[in-house]
Amino acid sequence: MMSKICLSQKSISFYLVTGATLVDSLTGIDTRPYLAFEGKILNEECLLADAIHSNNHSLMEAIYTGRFISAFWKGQYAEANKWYDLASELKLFSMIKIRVLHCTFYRGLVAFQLYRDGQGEDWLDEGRRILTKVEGWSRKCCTSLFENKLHLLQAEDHASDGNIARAKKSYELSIALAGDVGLIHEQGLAAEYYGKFLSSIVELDEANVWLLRAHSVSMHDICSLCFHMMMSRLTHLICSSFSLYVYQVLYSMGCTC
Amino acid sequence: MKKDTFGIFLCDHLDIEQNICAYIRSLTYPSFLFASNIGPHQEIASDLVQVYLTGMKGGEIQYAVGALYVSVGYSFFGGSHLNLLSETATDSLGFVAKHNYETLGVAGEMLLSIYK
Repeated sequence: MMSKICLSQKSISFYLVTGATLVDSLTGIDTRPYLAFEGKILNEECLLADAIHSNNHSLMEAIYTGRFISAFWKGQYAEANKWYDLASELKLFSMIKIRVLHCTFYRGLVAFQLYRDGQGEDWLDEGRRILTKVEGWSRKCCTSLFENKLHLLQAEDHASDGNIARAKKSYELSIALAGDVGLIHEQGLAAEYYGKFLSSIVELDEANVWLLRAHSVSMHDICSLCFHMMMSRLTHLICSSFSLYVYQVLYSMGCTC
Repeated sequence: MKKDTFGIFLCDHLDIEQNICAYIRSLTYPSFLFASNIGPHQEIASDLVQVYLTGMKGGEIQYAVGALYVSVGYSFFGGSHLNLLSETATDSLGFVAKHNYETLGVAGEMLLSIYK
């Protein structure tokens, strides 16, 4: 059936629809983007099967990285790693593109998180390898684009080392820098990670402040990256830090997911 | 290969050479990224939307659609409102799928025309 698809393998529509699928998976709203193909392609599975069948690495990379990004923002790190590993096996992945830059950054965060969750020393090495890579990018090109990412990775590295003071400083710097350049979703992400870190060192009141801040960023930029999933995770984190007051505030706002 | 009519169209009539530079720069991200200071994603995305609009007006639809696709990527990573992005992608999908515009040839053609 796939070989009968008359659309070109290089069609922009294929890439556009993978973008639309990614956005749908993050917002939780099904805009039915595959209707545009009038039954020739039913869903992303069909598109992926066709890409594999026709050895279209570029499209495979777009689908794998899209799924990685989606899983990352949903906090499903095992799933995210599966897609990242598949994407990184493709030769095209070594060519730096906007997607690859961000996927590498997210992978670094995943690696540090997994290390701190007790998944093994290998993840710390992976996180540090990516940190070095991002440091290189930050030196060689637009600093405003990489500075907040670099500080967030450094914060995760310090947190993994147990260097609390330096970790706190880097988290706060990352949050401020992301806000300065208008990367609201990354500001929320950094605030969430900071909140999680503070929870892990039992500074619960301070943790709640940052988790609430991450929450308010999501509220402000409603339907920005993974709004629904982020809300759900944040509410869970806030609840698990035993702050009944904060939970009640969220509940009264109807945001308990 | 056809002459870069889109580039000529932009330079002669609309004086937005900067936009075409942004387009080229974004398509050839790896080399330009390390050679020059690339601007924030949102600015590049906005330049690309201008390229899209201009291309559609001038009938250079393949370039325009290429610019739109790249701009969606920049907007996404620049933290754009996802509902707006979803709308943009879904609205243009029907048109793009129907006419089957190709993406990879666009970058090569534009680069060649610039370096000629």
